[in-house]
Amino acid sequence: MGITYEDLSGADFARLETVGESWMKLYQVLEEQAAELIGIKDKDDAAFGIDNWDGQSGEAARERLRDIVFGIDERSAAARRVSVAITVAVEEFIAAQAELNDIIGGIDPARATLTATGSLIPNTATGTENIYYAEGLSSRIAAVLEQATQADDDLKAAIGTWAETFSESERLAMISQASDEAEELQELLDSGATPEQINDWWNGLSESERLGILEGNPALIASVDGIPTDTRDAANRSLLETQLNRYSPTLDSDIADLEAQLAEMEANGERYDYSGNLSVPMNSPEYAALSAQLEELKAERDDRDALTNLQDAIAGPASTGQEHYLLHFDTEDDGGAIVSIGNPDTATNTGIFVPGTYSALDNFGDLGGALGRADAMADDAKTFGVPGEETAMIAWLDYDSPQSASPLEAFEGDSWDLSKLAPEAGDGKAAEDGAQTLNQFINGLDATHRDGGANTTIAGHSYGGLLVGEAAQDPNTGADQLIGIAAPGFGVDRADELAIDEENVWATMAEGDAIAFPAGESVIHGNDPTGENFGSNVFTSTPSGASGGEIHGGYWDDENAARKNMALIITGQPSKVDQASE
Amino acid sequence: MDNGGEVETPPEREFDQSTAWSRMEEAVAEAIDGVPDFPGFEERRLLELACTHNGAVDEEYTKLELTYVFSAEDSETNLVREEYVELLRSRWVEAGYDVHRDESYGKDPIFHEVEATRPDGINYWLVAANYVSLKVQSGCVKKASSDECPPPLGNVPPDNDLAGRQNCARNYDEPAEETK
Amino acid sequence: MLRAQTQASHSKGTIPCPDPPLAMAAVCDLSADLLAAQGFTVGDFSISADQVRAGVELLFSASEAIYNAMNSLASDTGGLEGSAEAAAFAGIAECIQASQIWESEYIALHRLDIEDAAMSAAVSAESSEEVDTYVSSMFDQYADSYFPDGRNAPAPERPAPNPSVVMPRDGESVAM
Repeated sequence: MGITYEDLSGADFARLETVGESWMKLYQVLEEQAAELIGIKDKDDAAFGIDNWDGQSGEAARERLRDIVFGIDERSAAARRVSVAITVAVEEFIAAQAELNDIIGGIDPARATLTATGSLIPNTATGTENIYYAEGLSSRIAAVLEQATQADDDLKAAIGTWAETFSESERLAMISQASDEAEELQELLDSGATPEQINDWWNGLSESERLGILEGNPALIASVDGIPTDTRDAANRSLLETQLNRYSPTLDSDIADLEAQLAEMEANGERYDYSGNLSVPMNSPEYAALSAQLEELKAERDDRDALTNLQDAIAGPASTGQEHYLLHFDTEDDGGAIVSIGNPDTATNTGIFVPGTYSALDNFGDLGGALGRADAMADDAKTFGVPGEETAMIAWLDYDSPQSASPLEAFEGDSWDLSKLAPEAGDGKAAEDGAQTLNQFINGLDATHRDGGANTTIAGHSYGGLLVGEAAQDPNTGADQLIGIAAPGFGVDRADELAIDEENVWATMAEGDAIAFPAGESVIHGNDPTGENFGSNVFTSTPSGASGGEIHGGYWDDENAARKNMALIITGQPSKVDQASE
Repeated sequence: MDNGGEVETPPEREFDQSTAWSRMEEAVAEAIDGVPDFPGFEERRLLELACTHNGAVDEEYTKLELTYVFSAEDSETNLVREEYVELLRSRWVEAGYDVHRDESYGKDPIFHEVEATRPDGINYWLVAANYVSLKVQSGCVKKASSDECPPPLGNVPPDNDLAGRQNCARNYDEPAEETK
Repeated sequence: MLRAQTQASHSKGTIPCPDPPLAMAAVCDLSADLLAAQGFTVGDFSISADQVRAGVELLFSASEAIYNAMNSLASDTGGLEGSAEAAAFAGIAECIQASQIWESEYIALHRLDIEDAAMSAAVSAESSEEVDTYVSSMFDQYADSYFPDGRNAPAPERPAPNPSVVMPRDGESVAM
């Protein structure tokens, strides 16, 4: 049943607004308390840390606390979404009410009379054209009531979903009602639709259809460029939780059992089988099978641990107070993830940080990993940013980052692994492939931005610098500015070969950086972007560390001038950047 | 990309992470003590950074960066963005701290940055950008359990105390003496 | 900090009860049960009771803070109950239902989890201290009875080994 004239005209939404604020307060308290509870166990010498509580009971307590924290964290996110849904509904209700009042206020009593139920009776005595007049007004009122009804349906669907008030049958009905739309989306994706087309299609859905897809098919939208950030985040978090729940609770003990079994076989002389050719000892079939099983379980454990670390890293807000948004994750190869600090759909500026060699899902959330660095950049953007403007900072690892950078890494203490003699970082293929994915992602952000697109900067460190350079060669890149931090090259010899204006191309290389030599050589990945003839704007950075390697990783150190300069570029204040003297 | 070489141990410090935050708060209190017409801060944040040695993250150490920010309105005033910068610079010089950075740049408005390191390794970083912020950096300190939760200084509104909200759910330690 | 491993026992899974009187044995068994109930064996755990107690207090205070915030939401939502808006707008009615379900189920369950974890931790902290106190008292009571005149045996003489004897020679390795 729809909202009637009487319902809308007489409604007071102030109490609903207060309830929305209360949900926001509940969200804040839940979030704060989750952070407080993490603090009880997150360090070895925390109250429930291993230094203060060792042994199985301590381990069980920490594990239990972790589950509690994630439960609360999830609940906190739900409370925020409920609050937002109520706020949006209140705005829409009030807008509809105001429009209704406008219509009513404009009625000419000489031409039509409004009844208590909102019907309009034309005054035919003063002219038959008043019939059309009344019909016109009636249809305007009907449209407003339809608008209010839609807002009410959306609110119900949002509360039912986020506050989990829907019964299973209601939830399934919502999913079922969106099944045609889910199929449509699949067809769109199969047809290679652009992020903009996907976003247009998504915006044409009702809230309950959108929520139906999210509830029923989170995997369908989790990594799709063009789906709004908030929805992608919900889908990815749901998938992350599901994936973590899939791991066997006995995984660790299964590994320990297998290791013990193998050790026992070895101790009993059952490891080798000497019956083969020339009596060369080979692992016995049973030992080999168990070893293979062990390796599989260990790989599973590595994935589980990496995903757990990711979940830990995005729990609660960043130090800037901005929310974390999980826009993608995977465990393929070395794994990857995309996490935004702040919502890029509403931010004025968006910085996308692409990490370099050795990046993987298992170090993504570390302080020195992609997210830790993006966190520092978000903090710097807040320090140097313009009042009233928000900057969303994204840690983007959605490419196959090289895992070797020097031929010397092939030496493994007493032997050489010939497969590593050609370091992966010497090959630009991963950067080229990643650049396409990055540009698609940026186009998605432009599509989902509520104000037509942010000022977007892509910033790559080391091999990530090459990737952003490759991305900047594409005329369809949505990036406005490019930063190479100790980049071995941008894949071109001159800045004017890029699709981004030279004045928006930035690079830095601290003196003594270990990569300065390969970058200067200009044979692999193009000319050194900080070189005299390249044509980019070179900004200062501080050699932070005693060795080339330390300097290469030191651009986010607290004393490094690069931090300020990057913040000024990302927040759109290039004139204040400290440029290196020619 | 140099992952080789020996990982050096950071220099010994007088303090570790267990007391770093309160020490940094004391540093802020010292900086703003008796500052004329102090309008108060609008926000407090606490950022943790990696401590790296020889290109590798040293898991035994960490770095903290405490930030107090003046409101946008106060940041525009001559008092906060010019006089306070002058005042703190001269205080740090007088105290014998190592003022190792002092620069002004840009225009509309002119940005100022002054950095000074105390003998205990605590580093002040005063930034007068669009917002004026006083940052205090711990440098690399040994990781240790920290259940301290010093209350914010300078009348930071509770909702803007991001450091307190995120690190200790605002379960503050005994209030420190407020410097107005 | 109580290091159960060194103070309570040297054998895994047992708490030493050196033939105590019956009443003491009951205490001893109780402590062992309490510890076992927490899922650990005595030989491989150590616990700092004061630290764990501090954590327990934080857990209870978190539960209380969540309770207060939920109460506030429930009270504000109460204003919508029975209102014309709730009758007319299905979404608003859903908000009322949400507050009720959260108050009675979801948030209540989180608080139950938190407080249950707090109580388990408190039992661990207190029982470990009980064991500590008990074992210490047992030392006072029994250890001295073995040596009514106090311990007067000379300290065992173990002169430091001559390094030249223990230095590896000719590829020999020395287990330390």
